[in-house]
Amino acid sequence: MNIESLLSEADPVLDVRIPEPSVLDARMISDSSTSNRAERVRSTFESARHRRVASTLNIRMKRPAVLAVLGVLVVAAIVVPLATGNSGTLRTNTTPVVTTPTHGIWKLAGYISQPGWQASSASGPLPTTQQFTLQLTCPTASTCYSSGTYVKNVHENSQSVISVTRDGGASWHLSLAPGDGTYFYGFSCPTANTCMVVGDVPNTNTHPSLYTTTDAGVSWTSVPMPGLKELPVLLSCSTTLKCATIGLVQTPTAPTPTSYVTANGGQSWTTSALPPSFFPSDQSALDCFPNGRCVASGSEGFGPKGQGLASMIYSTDAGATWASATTPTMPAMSGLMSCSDDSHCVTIESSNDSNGFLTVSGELVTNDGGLTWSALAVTGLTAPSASTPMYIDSISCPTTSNCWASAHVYESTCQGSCPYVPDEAVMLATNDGGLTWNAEPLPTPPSASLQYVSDYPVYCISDIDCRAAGTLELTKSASDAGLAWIQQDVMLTLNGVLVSGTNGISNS
Amino acid sequence: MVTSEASREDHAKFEALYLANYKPIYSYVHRRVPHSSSEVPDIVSDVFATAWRRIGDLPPSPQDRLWLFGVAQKCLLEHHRRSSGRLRLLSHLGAQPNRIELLETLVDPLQLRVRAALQELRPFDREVVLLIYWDGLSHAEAASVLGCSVNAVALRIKRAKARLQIKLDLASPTRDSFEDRSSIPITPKEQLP
Repeated sequence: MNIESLLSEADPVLDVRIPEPSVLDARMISDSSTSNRAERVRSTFESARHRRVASTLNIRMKRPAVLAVLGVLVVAAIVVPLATGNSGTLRTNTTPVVTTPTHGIWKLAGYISQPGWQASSASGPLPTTQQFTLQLTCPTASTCYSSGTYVKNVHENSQSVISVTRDGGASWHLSLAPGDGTYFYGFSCPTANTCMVVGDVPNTNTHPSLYTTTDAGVSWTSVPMPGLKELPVLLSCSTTLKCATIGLVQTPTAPTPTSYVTANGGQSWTTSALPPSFFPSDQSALDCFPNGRCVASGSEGFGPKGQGLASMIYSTDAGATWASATTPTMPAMSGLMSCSDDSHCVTIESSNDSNGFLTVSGELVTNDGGLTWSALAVTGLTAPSASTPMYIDSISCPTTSNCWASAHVYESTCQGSCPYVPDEAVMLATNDGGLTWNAEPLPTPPSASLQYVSDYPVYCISDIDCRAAGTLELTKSASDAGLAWIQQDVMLTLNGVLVSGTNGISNS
Repeated sequence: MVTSEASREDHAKFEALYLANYKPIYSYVHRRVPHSSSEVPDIVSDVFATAWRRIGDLPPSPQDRLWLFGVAQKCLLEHHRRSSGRLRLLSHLGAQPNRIELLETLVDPLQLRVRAALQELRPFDREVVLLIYWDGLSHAEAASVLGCSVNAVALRIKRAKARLQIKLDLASPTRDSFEDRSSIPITPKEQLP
């Protein structure tokens, strides 16, 4: 019994009989709306219709046998199409062609959660712990922090956690796990020993909190942040004391972007307004530097179909005040951004294509600390086939010329209940400041039954030293052969850069 | 009164829209107010009345269906605001516009567990799951209705499924063993945040 089937069976609509629509009903609505008689119409035929539905429901509730028969029919209606494979359209794999490494060799360095478990038979044991990594930052080559959702065993709730490695990713251990339903949002580690993360318990009338460690994750303290309905989604701490956040204030009409700034490690906060044309999203970014320079990427709100234009803002006083940057007109729903220093930043902008899929709409760069941005004529950031969209998941630019971007090709766009088709992770690199991107090979999975379905986030300490959280899942053939579903995050590391030619790899 | 050609075209367009989308919209609304099923026909009627009033803005098929979902979303919110006896719920709705009310009369404990697990998802994650698995939208269509990126939908589905998988104990290989565990009494209301 997979999750899709369970969800389908729990659909409350299966318990009701939906009335058949008729042209007469449609005409009554249009006629009544035209003559402002909608209420009267609803009080007649719609109410009568409802009474019939209610009556049917009452009868069924009193007759479990009838309900059981209907349940069997519903299950059959779901299972038969699945069994016959007639439940959706599959697409063939069309990931970018990857040949020889040109920027370095990615290796599987370690497992972020329980080490070493593999695909098992359907009756065999399943993994008991795993972490789905959403954020990653490495203040030094040996110390990395990751934020994600952790699952200890099948009888406990999943929870947001921070994990830490001090050996470059070979081994990880849990560092922070509040266990009270907290989700982690903004995440920033200015030094190897100091890390801050914003946590909030959704749907509760509580303050978000700023969690801080100053001993490399051995212990954490938390202080409440201002407001009850604020959600600081982005966080950047330029020092162990100075942090800026950009978040959303929930109002009855619409969420309002707002910035909070602290200069004492979260003991007190000041609020600052953001330019009205700026709206952050899941994939927006905020980067602050010790000299007070901050740069943030976002979009100009959401228009029809969620479409907007790229919107960049900057601050020169650590987030106390913000100004809009000069930004080329570019469709954007999100702006993945990475700054190699306080002057040079790159964003990859994405927006919906004509089919509604998020694809790269362009790339923006700044060389003056975010005041002005210009568009690049970029190549290599689009999928080889328009039918299999490629999403850019994260970007990291250790220098002004070198950037890495993790992506995945979405192999199935089938609707509803679909056969299992894993995505295909892609790692892209540029060494000309983002003009040209090439797909680079990922390491060989630890088992022929597994493949990388994602490789984000990616984080580079230098142009020869990067980390990425890879996610392994079953291959389609392994799944078809009956192996149990698994997923696990692993640590991928990059070592070595191109020296000369396409085969001149120099491991550093 | 003589109906103009343009008006006849509008009527024909609306009738086709109504016939093709009545059941999906009825289902969409019912899934979000299952405890108030008596109000479903009124809300659905509002959705189509709005669609008729804005027939000139109706995008061509297949976008018209997604447009209707957007209208239904707004009608549901408006319905909740109008409901005079639901002020307490109203305060919730600011954060949870897609809140699912559990049917206490539902007999299948497994389904109760699934719905309780859905309740524990983040509101936006839950709405994505509902649009994909109950309303039958594709990821791209759900993104269009929600005004977010397809990537965000994919990420939220991934996150939600992982959470549901654990909550529902899907490591069990068979439904039989699953149903055995489902005999453990649960009180869905107590699991609501």
